Amino acid sequence: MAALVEYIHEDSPVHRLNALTKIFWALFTLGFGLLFNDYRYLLALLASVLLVAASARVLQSLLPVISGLTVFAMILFLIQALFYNQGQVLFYLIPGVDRVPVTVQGLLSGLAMAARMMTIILSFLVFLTATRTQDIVLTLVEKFKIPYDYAFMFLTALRFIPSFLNEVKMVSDAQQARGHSIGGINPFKKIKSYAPVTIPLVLLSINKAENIAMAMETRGYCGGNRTCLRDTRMGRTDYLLTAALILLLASSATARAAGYGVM
Amino acid sequence: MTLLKIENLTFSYPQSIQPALKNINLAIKKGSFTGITGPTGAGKSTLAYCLNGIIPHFQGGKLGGQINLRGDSLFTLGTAQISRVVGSVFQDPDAQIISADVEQEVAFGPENLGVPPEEIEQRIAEALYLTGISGLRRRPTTVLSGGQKQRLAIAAALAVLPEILLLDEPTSELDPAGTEEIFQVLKKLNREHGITIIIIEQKTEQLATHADRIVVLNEGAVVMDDHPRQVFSKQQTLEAVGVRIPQVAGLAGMIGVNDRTPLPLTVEQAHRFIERILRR
Repeated sequence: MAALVEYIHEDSPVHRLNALTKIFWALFTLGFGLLFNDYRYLLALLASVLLVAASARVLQSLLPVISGLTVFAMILFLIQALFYNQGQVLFYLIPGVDRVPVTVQGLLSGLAMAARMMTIILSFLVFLTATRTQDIVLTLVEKFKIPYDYAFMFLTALRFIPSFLNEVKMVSDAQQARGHSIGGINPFKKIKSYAPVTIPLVLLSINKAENIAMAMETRGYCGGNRTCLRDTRMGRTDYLLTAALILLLASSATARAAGYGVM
Repeated sequence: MTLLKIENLTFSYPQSIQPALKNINLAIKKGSFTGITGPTGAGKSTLAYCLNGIIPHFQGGKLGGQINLRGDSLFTLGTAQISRVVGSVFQDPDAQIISADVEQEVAFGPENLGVPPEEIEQRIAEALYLTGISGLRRRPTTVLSGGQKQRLAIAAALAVLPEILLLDEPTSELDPAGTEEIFQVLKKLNREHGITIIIIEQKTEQLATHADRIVVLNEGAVVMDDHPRQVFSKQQTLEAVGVRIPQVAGLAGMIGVNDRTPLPLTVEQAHRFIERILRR
């Protein structure tokens, strides 16, 4: 699943939004999700998240994740249905002795929990698939004044995860080809058996880090004032959307305080 | 016009008795295509590090002599200043691509030098066009082939608009097709855009075809510095040093060359060479 949740390049209206707007959207969805516990509200919220995913054209790629989440949602629903025993009893799971009641409220609150879980997770997944990591980090640099060097360090680390994994495979293949066995059932032995892989890997990484530093030097890194190709400023749509989200959240909080959306 | 003048350059790495470079003297002319070759440990990479400022700014050691870059002493310039004139491409395609996508990678150099975004945009388009990878602009760098990665590294170096492109064994991890790709790009940059090329390369076949001057290093010293035809006709010296002689040149050397049948360096030239000999 980890491999599935990465940036997907599309030219959609959602992709064109500023990273900050999308962060706000994900956080507000989290807020909405936690405010209400009425299943109708939460299902509507889930539908809105799916709609955003569809307009970002990432729904297709997220389908495997969604089906995986559905399994968890079902489990959550079942647990809630089994252990929530207040309210109007529909039927008993163990008939005759009238044990383990299944109630209407239990089913509905299970539905609400499942919808809430899916909404919150999906909203962040949509945010991550529709926003380039660089843009997220650069926005953080710009808006929250994180020094560029640290942001750059983080981005470079991300960039080198795939090549690091390649090296892990390369080294462990090489050691296995020389007759070193990796694995076994005993966890301590397993950890110990990784030593001949780890040592060359660390040396390789140090060497690579040095090469990267050289490549950066020869491309003028730290040459003084930096410019940035990508615009991290917020546009009109971004401001409008953020304002709308804030307004929506404020009015929902008021509605919630007045007793709407609670079961 | 001389762009780069190396005078009596000597360098020793720390904790090493033998100097890595001994009394090197070279002058690189604007618009030239210089190939530097030699056996492993001859000091080729060390020389490259001296030319792009890695030595002395990144790698310390005992440095003697002088390098003059367009009238300034190279050792007093910072790496960022040097990078405006000398663009570098290294051996390992993976360890010189810094960004996660192609566009950002090419933008990295100009961004560091404070080029305005609109101009960076133009430079990206130009650099990707020159290296023939315009179609890859939106791709993540991890999915590129070795040859594409090295072309991207060249594009990234070009985006700084350097006068000199310095390449340290850019094709050593590439297959023959990838190697040819790189040399075609370099040839185009040299002939059509007047970019001075300095390339360190073990593949003498390609050097013989494309370079207009070959410098042979051995044990830190220049042992030959001449036109490829002159260099590859001294085949005994090359063999003693351990430099591979291009196949066609080796064959012609065995047959024997004279003024009417000069040493061939490419397959086409070898074709004519053999025709002339057979007609005799």
